[in-house]
Amino acid sequence: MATPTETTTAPYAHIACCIDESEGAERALTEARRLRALGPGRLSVVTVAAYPLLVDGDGEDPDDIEAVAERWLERRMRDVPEGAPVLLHGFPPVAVCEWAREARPDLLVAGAHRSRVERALLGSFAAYLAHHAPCAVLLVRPAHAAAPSEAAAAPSSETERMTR
Amino acid sequence: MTSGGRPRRREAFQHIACCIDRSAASERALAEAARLWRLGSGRLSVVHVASPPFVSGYSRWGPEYQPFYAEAEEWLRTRVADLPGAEAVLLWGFAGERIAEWAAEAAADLLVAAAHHGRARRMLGSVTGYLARHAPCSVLVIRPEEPSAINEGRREIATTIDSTGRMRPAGAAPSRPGQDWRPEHLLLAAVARSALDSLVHRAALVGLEAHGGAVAWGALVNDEAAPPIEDIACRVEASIRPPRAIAEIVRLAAEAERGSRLGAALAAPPRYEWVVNGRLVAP
Repeated sequence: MATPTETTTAPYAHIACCIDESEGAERALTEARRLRALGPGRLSVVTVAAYPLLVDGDGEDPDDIEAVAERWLERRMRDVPEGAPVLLHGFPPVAVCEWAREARPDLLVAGAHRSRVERALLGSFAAYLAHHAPCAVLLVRPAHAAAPSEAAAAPSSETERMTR
Repeated sequence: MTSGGRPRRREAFQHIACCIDRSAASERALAEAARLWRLGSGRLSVVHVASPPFVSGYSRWGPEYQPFYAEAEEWLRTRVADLPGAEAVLLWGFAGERIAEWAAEAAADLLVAAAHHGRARRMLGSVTGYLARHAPCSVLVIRPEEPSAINEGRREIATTIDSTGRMRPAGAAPSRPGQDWRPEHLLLAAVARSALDSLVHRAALVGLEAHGGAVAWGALVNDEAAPPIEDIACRVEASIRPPRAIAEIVRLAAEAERGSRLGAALAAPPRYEWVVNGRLVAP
């Protein structure tokens, strides 16, 4: 019944993609852009200026942290012309959920894990979104990444990580 | 798998697999999977796992399992009947593992599954939770309720304590005015403090010095019957000096988790994450 046509209808009217500097986030952004390009619609690219838990001395000036995040997002968005940047503040999963309650995207896209070290664990950020986001959440993995047995293995040693 | 010379595909997904059980939430997941499928020309598999009501060493062909299997088969057939072209896939065994295995073999590029809100999540072995962690492909998590109902009476809150001891509601900047402290922020502060102190204490017992910050977060739920904060999680980030082998760090984190007295006293203990010397360690 579904027939291929020249133009496919966009699956979502407003996609929001959460990014940081991780490799998982890059994959999520690539996937969000691909879905967005299927038809008309909005793409919000969301990043959070997070205040570190471990700080040196008296800690960084929060204004500096926000300025750095803002510059980073601006640079990253240079080659994402279709995306609208959104800079949030605070603890990332909570800030994103609160934002999504207001902005009401149809879909939140996030990397299922942030780095190879975290591969076997669902990043806390992604897990929190999966359970609490006020909209559908797409957790992006590279296709056919790891067999379940590998993914379930203990994440403890660096040497067990395979290069793919 | 498909011919490499073709131009870039214009489809959202080529093989969507929707995992359903008999919940209302998974009806919503199936509706969404069918919607995505109809936008393109790929495949839709509707996957159901028939789980034996008791566990034993027999295969599904054991005579005592036949009625369950036949009943599940019939149920799945009726679910797929109004989706012409969709494929029914009936699996047998432990839902999460079987679906993840099947998805790898069948080269699904998207698994669609429903989330169950709040307290339901704590049921061990939530299939969606398992798939979010272990699926071989991307996972689309569908909310169990109507979008209009989602904003009702729910709010995410967090409290962070950084390594200088500064405490902030919602992890916001200290300079940001207008942050409102609620009593629940203080409960979260206590959870974070208790976990952090537990790690410092355990490290000190073996002559190590731990130093760090923590954040605790959860959802405020406007429901008399519910605990004031649902699904509390706590992340501790610390440096431990002098450096130790990862095995010892993992053991320390496990001890610190057991020793987090406040968290242990809650009706539903928090989920903990320990990041030590820049690495996520799983107790």
